[in-house]
Amino acid sequence: MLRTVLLAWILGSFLWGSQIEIAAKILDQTVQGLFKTVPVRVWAQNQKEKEMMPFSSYMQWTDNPKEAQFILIETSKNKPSIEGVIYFGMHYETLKDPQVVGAFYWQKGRPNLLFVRSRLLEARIHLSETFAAYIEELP
Amino acid sequence: MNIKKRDLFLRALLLVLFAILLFLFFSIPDIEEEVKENIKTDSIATIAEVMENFHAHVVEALTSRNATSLEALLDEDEALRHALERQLNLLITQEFQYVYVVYKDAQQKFRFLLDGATSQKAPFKSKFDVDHAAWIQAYEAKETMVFSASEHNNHWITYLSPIFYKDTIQGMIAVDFSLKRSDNITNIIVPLKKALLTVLGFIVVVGFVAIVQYAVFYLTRKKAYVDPLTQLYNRQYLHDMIKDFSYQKYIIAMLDIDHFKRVNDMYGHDAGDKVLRRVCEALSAAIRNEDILVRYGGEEFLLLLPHETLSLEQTHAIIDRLRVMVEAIEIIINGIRITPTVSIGVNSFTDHFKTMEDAIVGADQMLYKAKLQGRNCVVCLDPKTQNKTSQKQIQTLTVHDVKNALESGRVFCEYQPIYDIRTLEVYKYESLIRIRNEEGTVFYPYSFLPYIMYSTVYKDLTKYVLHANFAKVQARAIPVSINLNITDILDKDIYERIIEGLEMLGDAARLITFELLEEEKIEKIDLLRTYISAIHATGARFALDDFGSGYSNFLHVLSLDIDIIKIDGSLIKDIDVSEISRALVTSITAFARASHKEVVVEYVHNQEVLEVVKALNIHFVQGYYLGKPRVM
Repeated sequence: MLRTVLLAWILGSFLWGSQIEIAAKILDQTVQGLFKTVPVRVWAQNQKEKEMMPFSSYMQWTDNPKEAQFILIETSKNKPSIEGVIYFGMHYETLKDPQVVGAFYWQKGRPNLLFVRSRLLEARIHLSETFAAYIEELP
Repeated sequence: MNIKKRDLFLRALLLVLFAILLFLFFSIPDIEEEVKENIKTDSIATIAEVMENFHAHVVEALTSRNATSLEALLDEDEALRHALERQLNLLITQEFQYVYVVYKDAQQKFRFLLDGATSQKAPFKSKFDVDHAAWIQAYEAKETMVFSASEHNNHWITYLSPIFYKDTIQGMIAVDFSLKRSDNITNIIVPLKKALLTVLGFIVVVGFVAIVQYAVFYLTRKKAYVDPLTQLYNRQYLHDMIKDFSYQKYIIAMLDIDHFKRVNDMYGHDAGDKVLRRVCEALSAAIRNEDILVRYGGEEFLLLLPHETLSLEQTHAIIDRLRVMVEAIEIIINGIRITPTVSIGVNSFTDHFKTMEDAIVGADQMLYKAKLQGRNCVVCLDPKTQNKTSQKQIQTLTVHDVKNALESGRVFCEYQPIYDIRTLEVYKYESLIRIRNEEGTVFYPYSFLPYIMYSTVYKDLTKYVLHANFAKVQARAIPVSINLNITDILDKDIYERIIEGLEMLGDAARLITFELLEEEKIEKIDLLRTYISAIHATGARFALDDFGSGYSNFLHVLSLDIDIIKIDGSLIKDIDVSEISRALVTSITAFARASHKEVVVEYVHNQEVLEVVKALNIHFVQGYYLGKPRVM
């Protein structure tokens, strides 16, 4: 409970930045949790996500998805299929894709983060306790 | 100089306007905040009312179906869920953007139960990361809460209201709404603030420019009005001040540093300046704030003292203390001690004078008397002896009257014959100045000359007399005597006019006699002698007027190359009865003959006087008995 509140405060504290800056900071925390080493090479279906990079400390943009370690997807359609990469959704709907381990999305004007427990296990990703409140199975 | 009342009013108005605008400018944020707060309260009241109804619907649904919880009911009945969401959707507007219902699951995570949105709808029971501790507080406290996303941002507001059923909280209605209506207020207020700021800026700039201009004006005015040596007001200040100055409320004192020229001549101008500075410092320190001290001329000062609060005696005592104070000053220059003194003439009857200039002349005449009395003294216009004179002054002519008379041709000369009693023929005519006022009354010299003596008008009048008489002699070839003060001859300008006129007359210059009146001790005797010799050279002659009275000096008769001695009328008028008068006239006549001077007597007013004059063997006589002055 306390952790939930704390993270809520962390998330809430970002509200004063631009949405891009907030997204960058949350994804920075996410990659720190998902990867053992940072920075992480990132590619996104939506090239607009590149705008997050100046605000990110742990993500490095790559124009080649094959070089990417972390791919942000908008939709499963035309998603590049690359082995060993971690797919992360930028909409709630992207969670329907079984390759997507989690998603960052805006719900009612608030930043939301969700990791799918079974997919994390499948990908052998262990997230720290800080993320416990954000890990669950899809309904 | 006083700031005009209108300027003062405008400045005050500008200042008040500035204060009002400034107040408005700083009040606007408070007004804006108050209006926004009202809008917020109004919005919350609307939401609360609607949500109360919705809460009743939900409770009714739960009760009618005897549900265990809202989450279970909505999980089972999708149709009810959609129906309730449609109800929530009815509230959604541009202002009430998100309307939804959440509950907290066993893991204490908030999850959606209902979402009024039609697009980007949150899935049923999907997780919702809240961004504010107030969510948890509201849920735990089971109270309605309203909060902004941040203390610093009240633009987006969240309304939370718990749904109760069987004393347990089933969920929480949430409405996220914005105060976009308040943006309209901001949209109105921002231009208003900018306009106010512009006007305030304009006033500040205008005020700043005005201050700079005033400072420049003040410095310039100070330069123009203040004498740099003594730091006293100068004559220009007096000139500008006179225009609207109530001089009648002041006593005017004219001060002159005695023998100042000698200081300059003996010790140099630096010493003279030092004396001036010390005297002025002492005077400035001694007078009151309301008194006005002006450097009127080189070593002449004008002191204006308001007499409303002081009696005549007090004022005179103050002025005499100033004199004594100056007398006590000691200035050491090159080891030599200088003790300046001042002569002071006081005019306490300024309200008897038509203009301030006339009143100054009045004070100057008293100063003149103070000098005659031996300097370092105060001479006041005496109220006791002056009553008659004052009355006379009111009826006599001022400087302005004489100036106007000169300009409008009302100055003229009458001529009184002087007879040779041996032949009973006119020996010459004495020219006597007259002024006719606008009403036709004729004024005699005693009624205007003393009052214009120290003004430029006196000089203009002298020039007129010279010109009129030269013209008369040229036209009529008659011998004429012209009265002049010795100081007139010493005036270079007048002297040059005389020479010019006599040269114009040529041989007729011999028909001119100048009757000199000696009113004070002659200081420039050498220069006078030179000028008289030069005038003599043209053929004109000189008579010493009023001999036997005042400053008549036997030595001057000899040293100044005087041709004629004109015995004062006061010795003649009772010569028929006064042994002393007869004895004096006999002596003067003897002296005149011994020094080869002609003798003229005046004031022959009857046959008896004429007989005595004849007996004394005086040939040239003048008086009303023989002939009155008349226009020729």
